[in-house]
Amino acid sequence: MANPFQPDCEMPVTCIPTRSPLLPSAVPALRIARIAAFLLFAGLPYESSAGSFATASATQLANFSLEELMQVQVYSVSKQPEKSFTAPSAIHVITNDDIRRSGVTSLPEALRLAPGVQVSRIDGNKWAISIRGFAGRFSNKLLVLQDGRTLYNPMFSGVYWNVQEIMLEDIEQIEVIRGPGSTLWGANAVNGVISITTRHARDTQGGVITAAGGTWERAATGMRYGIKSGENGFVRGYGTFFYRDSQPPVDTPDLEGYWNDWRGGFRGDWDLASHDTVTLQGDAYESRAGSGLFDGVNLLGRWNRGMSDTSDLSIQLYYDRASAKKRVDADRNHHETRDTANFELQHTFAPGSRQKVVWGTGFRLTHDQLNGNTAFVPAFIPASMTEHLFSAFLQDKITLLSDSLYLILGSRIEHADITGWELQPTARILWTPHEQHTFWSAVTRAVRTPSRAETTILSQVGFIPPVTEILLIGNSRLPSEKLIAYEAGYRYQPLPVLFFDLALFYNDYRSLIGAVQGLPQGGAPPTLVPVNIASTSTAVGRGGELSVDWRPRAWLELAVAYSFLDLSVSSSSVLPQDKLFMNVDTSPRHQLSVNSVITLPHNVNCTIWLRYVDSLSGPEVPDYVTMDARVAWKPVPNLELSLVGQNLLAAKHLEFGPDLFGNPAAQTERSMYGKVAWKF
Amino acid sequence: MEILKKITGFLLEGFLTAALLLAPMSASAALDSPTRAVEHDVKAAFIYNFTKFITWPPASFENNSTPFRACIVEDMPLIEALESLTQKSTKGRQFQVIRFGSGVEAGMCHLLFIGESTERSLAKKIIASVGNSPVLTVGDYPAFATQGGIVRFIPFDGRLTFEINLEASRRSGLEISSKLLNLAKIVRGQP
Repeated sequence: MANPFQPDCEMPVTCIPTRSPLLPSAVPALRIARIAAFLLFAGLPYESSAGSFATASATQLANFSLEELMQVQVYSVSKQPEKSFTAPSAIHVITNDDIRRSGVTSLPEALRLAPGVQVSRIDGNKWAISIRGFAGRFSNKLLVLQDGRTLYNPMFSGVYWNVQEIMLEDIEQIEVIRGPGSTLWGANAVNGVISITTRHARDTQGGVITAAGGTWERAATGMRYGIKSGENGFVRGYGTFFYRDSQPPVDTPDLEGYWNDWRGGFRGDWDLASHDTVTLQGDAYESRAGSGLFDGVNLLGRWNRGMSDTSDLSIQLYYDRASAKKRVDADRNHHETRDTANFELQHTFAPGSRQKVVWGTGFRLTHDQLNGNTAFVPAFIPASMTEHLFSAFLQDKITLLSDSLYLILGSRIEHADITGWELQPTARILWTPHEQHTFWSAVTRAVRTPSRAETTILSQVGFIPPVTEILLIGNSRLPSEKLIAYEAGYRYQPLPVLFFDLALFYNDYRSLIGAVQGLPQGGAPPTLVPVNIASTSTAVGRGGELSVDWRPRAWLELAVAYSFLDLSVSSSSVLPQDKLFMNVDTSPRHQLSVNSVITLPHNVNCTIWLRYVDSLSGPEVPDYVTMDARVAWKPVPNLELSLVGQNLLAAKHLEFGPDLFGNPAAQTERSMYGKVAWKF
Repeated sequence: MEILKKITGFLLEGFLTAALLLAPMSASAALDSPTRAVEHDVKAAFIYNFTKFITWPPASFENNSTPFRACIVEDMPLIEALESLTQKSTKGRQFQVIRFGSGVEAGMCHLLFIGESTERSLAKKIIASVGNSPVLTVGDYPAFATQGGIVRFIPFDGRLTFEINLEASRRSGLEISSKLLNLAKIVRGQP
């Protein structure tokens, strides 16, 4: 067998050139590929001598007794639920098991498990997370939800990732949709949707206690307990606490990176009459992230009725209160309190055998109270606002050819106070000529509503002595950012243990919001130079994601994900802030992840996860290769001990550039932790 | 902090070496560890085994040579796994696998599997169409028992266990042996 490590090998196919002139940045990626190849091939010689890994076929298993069958260790062939194989969009599902076996301790880090998601750590408690470009601390084109409750904050159009740390053990799955999900999910689902679902209370009966400690993850503990509630109901409660160390930014002491967080919550699920189910859940938290203090509560109720065999109705109501007190710089504070109430109704029915319709309507009321340090700006005018959002959608899945060709047509109509009516239609086609192949293609329009900050900010962003003040001025007449996305995808499962997923896209953006310089005012030198927020740019994004899930051996699972992005923005503004506003050039062209999970004897499990991320060209950030590794041992079925090393390949590396105010991002350091998880 | 970093570096080295060395060893060392199998193969074996512990009313077979009919909704991997068992017989009858679809009525199946991948509304409809016929319904999604299904697979700690809805089994008129009931988690189910 050719040695994949031999640099001067004779077979041209296995030779890896030391430097390719076309793809200079791909060299670290090749390094990952080599290590992955080694991991893979290392097992081959043993395989042939030792025979297969005690994997039983159905014929052999049929001779087992029921008791023996109940002892067989089961693995499923494709980690992706079958529904996502025939979905007409680029979708990936991160399961509870994926999260546990990766060794990640926070939600943002878990998102690295999905292909095409950019997760760049800014410091110990902040991340820039995006899909298909425009990443920033507030990546405004990505919609994020938990159990149907939006985590997307309209203040800065983004997610405060530091207040979303629910207990990872209770997450059922994280659905990651790349590309617009505007028809079903609404505005701001422009580049993608991340939907986190927690487990049904029935599936979290009994107790779990976890405790972890290490170099970054200084101390973390969580507890959950679930019981029956009445004849047909289940409830659980949980509480978590963690303290995470700060990570120093380049050359400066870090004041903003550390993070501690308390959180508690509950979920109850009840089957009422034969067709009704009810869910009630809520959380409360307090998070201290650097100099910021965040707290909040939320409560959500959902009622679902299976009205007939083909018709389903659900109604969901939630209330969410979130407060954030943050330091902007040495003299300025920002204090924001937001109350959101949301109502949604969704109805699925089948008019005839060839159609399936889902429609819904929703109403959201959000009220904010913004108190800055009044002696200085930023101020938001008005300081308190109530906004209304109304929306309705309808989507029809039409069967053109039975069991193989479908047309999906739909649209959402939405009314926001700032931008008025918006239409977000989609047309998708799905072709499943054979159960091993799926082809899909889509054209979708999506919009991003301007944020509260973009429409109402008034902030000093610079001062040129003696008298010139530079003021950033919001624009209440901003139109929405618009996207027309053209997508296509192909999935192929040639073997039960091998799965390919390819998605390609062409994104055409209009009316992207940036900043232009206004007319200087008041003589010479001017006393005021306005920087006006305005629609300045158009952009074209091109790229694709390829992922391969392969289980070459019963004891080895490989997941490889590669993504490519080419984003070019053309702006009418020459201001440097324009690009910073839009988060341009903050996403890598290439990303590669190779994740291998190895099942060893004696209930030992091992994960090795390599990632390559290309350089960023906006504020410059070099490319990096890093690796996480985890070893876990279950001495008894209810106890798991694990040791995890994160970002192991370098003492530290940078993942993102400085923010709008020039504060540098922190370096992500190599870290280790140990964890005990006990179920009872 | 410095000490921690040193420890980290030291552990890392050992860790990597161990991981790389252990990976190839696992194949040979695994022979004495528990049997592993692909989920649909295990389900197929369970389904085949269930038939030995359940008595169908004689009227559900037209004559002595009528095969035992296991109908599977949509789940192709499971169908393929079960097809590898069609050489076998159960209680003297040929074990037959039928892909449930148009032209197949729930009433002509002895066993009917409806899996997670089946759309919920369709699943409900199929279970409802079984009514009180002597059909052993088997499923693997949480709401299965609520919808009136009889046996549900439950993944537990990397293994498969199952629960039996007593009420639903009574309605079907099937006789379930106490051995099967003893191994199952019992649920009372919906009226």
